[in-house]
Amino acid sequence: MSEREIDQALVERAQAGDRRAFDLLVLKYQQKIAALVGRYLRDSAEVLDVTQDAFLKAYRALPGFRGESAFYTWIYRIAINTVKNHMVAQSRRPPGDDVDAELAEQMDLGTPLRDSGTPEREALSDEIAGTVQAALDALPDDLRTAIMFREIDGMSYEEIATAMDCPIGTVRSRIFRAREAIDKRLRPLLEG
Amino acid sequence: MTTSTSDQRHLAALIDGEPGPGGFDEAIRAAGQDAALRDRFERGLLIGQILRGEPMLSGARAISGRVAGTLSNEPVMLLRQRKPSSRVRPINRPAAALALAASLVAVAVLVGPSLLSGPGAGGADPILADAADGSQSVEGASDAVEPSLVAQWSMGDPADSTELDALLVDHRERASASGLTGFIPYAAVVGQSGVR
Repeated sequence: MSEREIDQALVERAQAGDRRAFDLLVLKYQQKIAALVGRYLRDSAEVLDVTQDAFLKAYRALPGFRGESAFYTWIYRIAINTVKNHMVAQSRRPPGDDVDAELAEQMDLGTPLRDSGTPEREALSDEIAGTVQAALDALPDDLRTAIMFREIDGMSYEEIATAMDCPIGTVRSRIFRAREAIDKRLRPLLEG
Repeated sequence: MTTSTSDQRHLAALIDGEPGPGGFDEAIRAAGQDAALRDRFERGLLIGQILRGEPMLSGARAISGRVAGTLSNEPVMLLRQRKPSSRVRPINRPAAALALAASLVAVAVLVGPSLLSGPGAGGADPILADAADGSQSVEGASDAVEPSLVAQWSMGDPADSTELDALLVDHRERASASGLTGFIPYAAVVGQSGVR
């Protein structure tokens, strides 16, 4: 299943009344949408409020979503409109330079967003990124290669199996173990 | 709740977009039942985003919980079920119009002549009707009909009776041979000849 097919399957589940499916969509896109909203709003509390509002609007509009565009493209536009409305309500000038959703998806919105709320938040973001990188560096070669093929190069299990000359089951296991190892280091930081 | 390795693997495969047969349903079921598993799913996504250098906002991790909390007080949104439409769909309109027109033409062809023949005819041959009761004939019509023609199908005349019998026998023979049904064979054989 492609990314879009997975999203569409989750959307259809949510349209049928399965809130768990919508929860997964929120988990999947909360960072991207918050980053998008953060391009227009400086205050991090405001960013979170508007992002939350965008997801709520998306949920309420979900019955009308027919899957003609990707879910991310759709939620992207809802988020942009929510930001605009929020800024108008705050008597601020709304953004006029909408980035095309598909283009933004490819470009990952340009430079990585920094937590601009407080110095503590910025420090936490740096620490999280540093921890993930350190955990990646500490992985055995086969696990590191597998997860980098998957996450950075976007290769499928089958492509990775061919590249690493091993069964797909082994690829699946290596990626799983690599994530587990990184998560083991990351979890205390996020939950602390 | 103890998270099973199987459930963890289903969700990990979902992150990679490769849930496998039945894995999609299992992943949703597992995520819905186990908050720890949902957190693990979220961290798994986050790891990928960080590795790719994508934007990361630490506070954004709280959004899913806030959204779920707000939605828990709202009714479940269901996809609008399509009601059977009471109007004819556009694609059927031309066909329906054509069928209606054909029906009207058929009714006009079958019923029209008997309606046009007038209320006193009763479906009988107008010539014979005139012969039976000259007083009901249209003014001047009785003069137009020759007495010899009016009497031509009189069964009291042995010659007419013999000729009609011969025509009917001939008709049966031809009709069975032609294979035609309905009015066509009959009309071909028993047409009233103007000259006798």
